[in-house]
Amino acid sequence: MIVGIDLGTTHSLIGTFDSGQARLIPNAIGRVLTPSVVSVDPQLGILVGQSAEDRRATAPRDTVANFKRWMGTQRETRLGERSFRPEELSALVLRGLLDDARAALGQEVTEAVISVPAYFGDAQRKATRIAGELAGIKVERLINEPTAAAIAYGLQERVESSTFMVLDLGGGTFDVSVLEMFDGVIQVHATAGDNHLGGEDFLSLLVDAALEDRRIRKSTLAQTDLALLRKQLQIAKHQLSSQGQASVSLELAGRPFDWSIDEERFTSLADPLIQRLRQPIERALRDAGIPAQRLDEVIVVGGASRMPLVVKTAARMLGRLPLRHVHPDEAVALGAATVAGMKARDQALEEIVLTDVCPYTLGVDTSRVDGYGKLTSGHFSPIIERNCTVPVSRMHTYYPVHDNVAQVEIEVLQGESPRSEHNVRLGHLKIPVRAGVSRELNAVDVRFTYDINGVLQVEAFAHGTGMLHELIVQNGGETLSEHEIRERLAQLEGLKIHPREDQANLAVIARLERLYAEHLEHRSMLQEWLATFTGIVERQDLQQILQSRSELVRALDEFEARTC
Amino acid sequence: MLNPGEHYRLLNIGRNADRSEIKRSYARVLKTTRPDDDPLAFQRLQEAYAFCLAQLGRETDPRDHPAADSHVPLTAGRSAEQSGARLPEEPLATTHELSWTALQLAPRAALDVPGFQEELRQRMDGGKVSHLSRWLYEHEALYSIDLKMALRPAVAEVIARSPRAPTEDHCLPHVMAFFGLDKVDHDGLSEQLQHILADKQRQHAFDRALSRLRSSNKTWRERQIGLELTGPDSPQHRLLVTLVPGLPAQIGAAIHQLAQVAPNLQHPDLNLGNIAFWRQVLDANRLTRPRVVCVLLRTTVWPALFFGVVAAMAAPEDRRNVLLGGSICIAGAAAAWLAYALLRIGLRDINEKLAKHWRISSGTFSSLFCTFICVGVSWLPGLAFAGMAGMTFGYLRPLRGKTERMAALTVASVVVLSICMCICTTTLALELEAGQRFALAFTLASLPLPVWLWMEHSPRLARWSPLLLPVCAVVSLVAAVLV
Repeated sequence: MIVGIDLGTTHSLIGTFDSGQARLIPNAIGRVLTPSVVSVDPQLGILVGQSAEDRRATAPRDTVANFKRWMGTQRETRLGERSFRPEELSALVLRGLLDDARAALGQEVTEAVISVPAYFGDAQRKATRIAGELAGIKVERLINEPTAAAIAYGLQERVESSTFMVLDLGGGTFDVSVLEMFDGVIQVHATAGDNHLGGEDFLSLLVDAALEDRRIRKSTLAQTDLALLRKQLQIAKHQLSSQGQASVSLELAGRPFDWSIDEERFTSLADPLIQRLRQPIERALRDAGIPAQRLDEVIVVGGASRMPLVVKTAARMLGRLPLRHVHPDEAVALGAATVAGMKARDQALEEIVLTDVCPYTLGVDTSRVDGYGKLTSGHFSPIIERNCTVPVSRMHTYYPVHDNVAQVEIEVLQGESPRSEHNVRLGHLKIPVRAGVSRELNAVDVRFTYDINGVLQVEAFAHGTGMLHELIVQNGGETLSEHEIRERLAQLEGLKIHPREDQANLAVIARLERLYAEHLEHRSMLQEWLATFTGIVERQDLQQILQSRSELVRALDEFEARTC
Repeated sequence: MLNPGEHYRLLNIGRNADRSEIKRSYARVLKTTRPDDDPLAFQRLQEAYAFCLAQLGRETDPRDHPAADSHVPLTAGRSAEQSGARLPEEPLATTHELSWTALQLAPRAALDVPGFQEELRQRMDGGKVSHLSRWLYEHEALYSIDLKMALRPAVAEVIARSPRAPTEDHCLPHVMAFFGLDKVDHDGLSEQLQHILADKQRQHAFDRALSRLRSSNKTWRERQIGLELTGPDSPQHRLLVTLVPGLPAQIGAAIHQLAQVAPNLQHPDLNLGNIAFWRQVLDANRLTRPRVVCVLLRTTVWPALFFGVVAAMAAPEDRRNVLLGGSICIAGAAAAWLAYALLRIGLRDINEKLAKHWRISSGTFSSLFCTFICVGVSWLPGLAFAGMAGMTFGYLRPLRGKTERMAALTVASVVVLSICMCICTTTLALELEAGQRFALAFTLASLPLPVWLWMEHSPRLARWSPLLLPVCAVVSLVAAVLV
């Protein structure tokens, strides 16, 4: 069974394709969006999802979120007794999603198509695959998020023939893609993005502004207080989008904290982030070789795209209004589920073919003689230019710099700068060449092959020796080796993860605890509710638990609507 | 690489297919050659598709077509009207949630490109980076991508025409980053600009190095150097430069400095003929005519003047002796230098041959080997000097009576000379530049010993003799060091 997964910075979703349609699978609480948050409790074990999200306010030291931003790095987070790598945290979220799928479909999931930001580099993609492995599934295909959103849009609107742009501003990443659909072909022309720009950055702006206005230093706040403030400002941010103004009122460090903001102030605060939106949009259009006028449509997806500021900026740049035909939070997951269906050769998708592009330029480090006869090194020589349709294979011939050399070193780089030092090193290859001869006889043909799954293979043929050398790019040192993956897999399986059946109860309890921490006025009432519900859960009468839980949830919804 | 006909065949279309036909047949063939199943066939199909679209004359994706030349020439004389662009008008498509008025966007007029170029140039010359940045990011018209892209060649033109050196222009990186001219791009514009800027940088460094030579309020020496490198060919000037102590070496240093900046020294102001001449004079590895002539001239003229003065001051009967002794000294010095030069070249050749045939790199083994040769061979010049000294001594013998002292002094000078030659050739083999010079200087400094011996003899000059040895040594040192 193959599924499609949107592993987002703030939320994750899982879906399948059947009966000619992509369908999202709800979690234990009944929602399709599962927060990408992991929390550790000494008694309950590891919690993932909504219950963990609520524990961000009550137990911030044992909870971690937004770890998608650390994928591809070696950053370790300490939760409880153990430290976790970003791949492991993502794997825990994936396991939660897979449990939901198993419960809904009644069969095991063996493979998944996971969405990644189009601009994710080699290391980050590898980390995502490893997260899948650690969750116990095979991940062969990674789909770029804007492409997934485009597929969801195209199928939903039954697009016949169109050239359009997808802007995906999620919790942590921003991606732009220019696509064309015709006769069942979905063709990506170009893709660009910023891996450190998302809704969370706009939220941080609000937090900093609020603290600065009230002259409170972040370092003086307790973690719980900061988490509470963040949570409230998150709600305020949504309010801003819909109503044009927002305010927060809570208790910080024992004192009342009131703050409000309007759209104008937010616009001027957010200006630096908005400026960062411009560059990827321009780059994608430029690479596609299409003027903005020729786009038939501009689609926005991603939670943060709800902000009017973002839509306005896109409109100024593209000369047209972006539209929101597809659900901004669900589009990517629906697309991923559709690609899963394509991979499984579902009948309904037989007529559709998808082609995607390589988001980065790939090349080698070279030296060059300039117009004045001076030899300088550190020049980046591209072999595969960015936004080439994949799979692609290109070759370039290089010569050693001097005569009489014993070997040639090929440094594989990824990036856009003409200077090698500003690009990312993916690996290197040492090629022995024929010794004691002039440089013309030692030509080396370097071939880069980038396949549809985003794996780069480097082949170098040395004319002097007649030998072929191969390198499948492993990002040295940063990602886990085979052995390490198996070790960590065994460790993860040994961890006590809280069972799915209790998830719903846990979520309610965690929500109660959070509200208790946030509100000072109604504490006695909340405490009573908590005690009552905990008692019912302990009695383990399923019918009663179900009934009291749904009543409690209704009461909490009313309560939150009244007080916020 | 397929030939054109095969591209069309792959797509099952004729050569005069229009755009929609090409796309339809591409879609059809793509269903059977999916990228997941057959990567190679898919790539061929992709190339065919790109090729056929390109043949239609519309802009296509050059990256799918490896052989396509996607360079856009940066024509300096681009007219302003060509690069003017219009902004898109209000769209006709219906909106869904937000309307134009709700977003408060007003339709804009076309941008005046030459005016924009002028303002950009002024702001870049102004040098205030933060002001320039703010102006660019807040410029309403530049929000439109189409307009911004259309302005790229115009902006590249402003940058290319700027008189400042690229590394000194602090505004340049920001402007380039804003218009995307600092990244590798498929229209080739940024690469072209990089080359233009690299050339400009080199030109600036070159001009700076050259202007230091040409500024008039410098010392007499620097003026001569400047004159030699940038002035017309003049044999008299070359003679003057040859004879002034230290000047040829300074010219060599100046040429070396210029070559660091621009190895092929292409500049309208530089006299390449003179530069080639002086390079030949200072090239210690080859015995070219200019070098031989210059060095021999130097080794001859100054000592000749010196001996001339001594002869003029000597008694008429000693004059002949002094002149004879002087000429022998000069001849000896010249011969020593020639021997040294030939030896040096010979040893270098031996080194190279050893490196090539026996795969030994010039290093310890060959140096030791050469040292043995040198020590053996160096006795030859030593003996030559011994002969010369003996001849002098023999000539002097009847004129003086203090035979023991004379004999001791002669033997001492012979030994000293031979040791010096050994040191000289050893350091040559081990390629120690400073040591060579010192050894040679010491050798030549010992040459005037015979002269001093005469001085001792002549009654008229006897009282000058204590001074003369140091003076002779200094003169010879100077002549040697200049080489």
